[in-house]
Amino acid sequence: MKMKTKIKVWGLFLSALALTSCKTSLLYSTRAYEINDLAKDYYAVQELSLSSLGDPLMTEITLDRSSKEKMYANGYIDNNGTYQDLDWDATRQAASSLYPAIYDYTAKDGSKTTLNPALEWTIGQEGNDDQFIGKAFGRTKCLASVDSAFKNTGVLSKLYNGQMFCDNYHVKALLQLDTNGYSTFFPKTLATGDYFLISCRGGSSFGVARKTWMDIQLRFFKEGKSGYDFYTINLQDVLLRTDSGGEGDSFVAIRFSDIGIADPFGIKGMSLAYSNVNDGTYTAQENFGASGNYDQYFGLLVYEVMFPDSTWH
Amino acid sequence: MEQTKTKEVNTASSPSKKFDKEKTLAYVVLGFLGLVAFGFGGSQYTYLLSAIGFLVAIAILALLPYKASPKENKALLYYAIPLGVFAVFSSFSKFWFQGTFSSVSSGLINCFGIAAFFAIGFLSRKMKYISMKGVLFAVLLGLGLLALISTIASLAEYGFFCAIRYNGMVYYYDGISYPLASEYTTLFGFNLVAVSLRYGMQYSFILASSLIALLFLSPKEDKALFITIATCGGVGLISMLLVPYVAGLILLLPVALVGFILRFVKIPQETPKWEKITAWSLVGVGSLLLLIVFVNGIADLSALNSGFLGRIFNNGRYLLPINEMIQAMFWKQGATKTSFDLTALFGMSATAQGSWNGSLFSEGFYLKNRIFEFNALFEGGVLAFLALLVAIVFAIMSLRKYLHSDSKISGAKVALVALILGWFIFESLESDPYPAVLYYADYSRYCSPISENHLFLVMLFLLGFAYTPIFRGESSKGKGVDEDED
Repeated sequence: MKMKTKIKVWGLFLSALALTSCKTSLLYSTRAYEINDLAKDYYAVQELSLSSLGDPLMTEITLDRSSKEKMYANGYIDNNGTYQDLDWDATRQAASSLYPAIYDYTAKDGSKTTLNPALEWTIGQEGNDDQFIGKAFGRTKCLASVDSAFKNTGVLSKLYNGQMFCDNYHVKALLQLDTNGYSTFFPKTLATGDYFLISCRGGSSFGVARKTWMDIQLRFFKEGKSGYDFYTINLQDVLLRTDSGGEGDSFVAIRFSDIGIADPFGIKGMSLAYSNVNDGTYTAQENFGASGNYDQYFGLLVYEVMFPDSTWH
Repeated sequence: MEQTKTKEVNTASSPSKKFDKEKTLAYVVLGFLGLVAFGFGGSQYTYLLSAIGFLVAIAILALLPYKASPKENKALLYYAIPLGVFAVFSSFSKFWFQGTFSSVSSGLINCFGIAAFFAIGFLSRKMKYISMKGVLFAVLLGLGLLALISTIASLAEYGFFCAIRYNGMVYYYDGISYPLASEYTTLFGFNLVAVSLRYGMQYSFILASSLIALLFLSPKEDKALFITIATCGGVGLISMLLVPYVAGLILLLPVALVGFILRFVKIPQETPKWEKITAWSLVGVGSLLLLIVFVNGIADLSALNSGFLGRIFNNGRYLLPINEMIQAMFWKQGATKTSFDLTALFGMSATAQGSWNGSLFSEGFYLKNRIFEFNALFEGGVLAFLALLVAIVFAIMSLRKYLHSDSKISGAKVALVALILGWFIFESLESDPYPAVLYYADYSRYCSPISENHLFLVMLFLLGFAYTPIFRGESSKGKGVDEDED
């Protein structure tokens, strides 16, 4: 082969490599969603457009506080009615009360333990899994620990890494949503799993600690014939804390089999949105989206999205 | 007596046996040198390379006769004293023993490794079948292969000109953001790993430095060497341009300047007076600046840490970690400044922390240090640091003599010196002791730019190979070098 041909072949080879570069597909500008200004940090990416929606897999499921058969967990820091301030509604049951099995852990040697929700893995503990897996609820049951594909999901990987609270990491630990929320595809498909849990709180530029009620709509997508078929679950009257510190999260959870979804396997993506926000006198003065008339901004701050004890393929 | 006679007869009757022994040893040395240049096993297994180097040095001494005059030995001994002191104090120090890094055995291996690689280089020059070109081929091809693999891997990960295209962009992994423009993928041990751009580019920089030798070489006279340097150096330069690694390209300017001066300025073989005065003036200014840095580091002088002087003596890029280092070494942790710590002579605790200029600095602060000579300071202590500085001065004097040992400067010698110069400039300004981007990944660890750096071993070899006496003694002109060039 002549020298010129060799150079051309090498050039083509390297160009082909460079054009298929791996790490450049999910990039963000520095401090994207992490400016620490509620007006500018809304994450509003809808990976799933309305046009790609298929058919509902069943009629919308609405879970309210009155339907005892169809409860959802809603516990402040996953305690069960023992709250020191803001007069938490003690009738609301925490995930630890409704679904205690999600805190169970069976080690490889067969020994069983109960995971500690207070022992918190943070992004500063990256790599120290030995100290947390099998001990801390968040890092043990998070999606990143269940399947490492969830580690490589862009900024959404903040929701899959098991850091359930702020722990002084502020915007680095959460995603801020407006009422339209977000939708996403998972890197893999749900194979088994019966639980779903989010760790979240309200946040606003008022900075006054208060209680906030809202309706949260969850959708779970499966690949259908003419688009993505979906389940819709409306959680009515969810109680959260707003501006009461980064540790003032609530765990909001459901069990699919409890609410009539017997076959969650095949779930490929989800969306989360909220409406009917009510936090007393502040509601009327707040914007809930990136653009609005008021000076004060409100956001649903999500720290974690989990499918405890799930498997993915 | 009879036995001795028999031996002599055997040796005389089978010259091919002796020939094979020397030849085999030459192949072993060159192959091993190439492997070390390639960084086989990565920083984690540098101690293995050091240990094998020690065995190779023993093998050379055992199998081949070493002949030198007492004067020659004396000159070599004087030259090697600072290197020996450095080897001992940097291997057995507070830093290594108080941390979880090392043990007595690994200290011994490191100490003997430093001595062994210099010795192999020195002895190789006397070996019949090891030529200057052979050494250059081994080092250039080893480094070139490493740089080529890293370039291909990085292109696959980031594409062309990623430092410009993705400047200010981050990617996320496990919920943590990482800036893409300051990252490079390299062969790190047995894995392709994302490391800092500074760490990943060191091989390319050293290779690109060797390109100045082309000013002294003609493709007609020495085609093989010309093509090897042009190809391997070209890989280095192109990989720097494809990022582009601007800091490295700027640092290539002084290397190029040295090349042009050597090529186009007539410098006499014997060091002229003006050169001596300039060199010693530079040493004096350097010593004075170092003294100020040490006084400031110990006394924490606010006058030197704020305003215009603060930008010089307390700048965050270079001197802040050094100031913190000196402060942590000389004052016992948590104590008032009445508790002066003389164990600083033997290094710093790996868990040291303290306060500097009104702010606290925490454990691991020294990972920010970019100047490898100061790694010697906290790893080995003041004695190791001073010994290293003296060894560097000796090496510069020796290399100057080496380059001008003949009336005409040869391209091969320039290539060898350029490799050492490139490494020295890079490690003195851009070294990175904690290269892995994913801070807590399995392979993430402290990588000493001295004792856990295969390039340091290669440079010791080259220094030994280029050794030219600077103290009064006979010339150590070896067979390999000059015969090869003729």
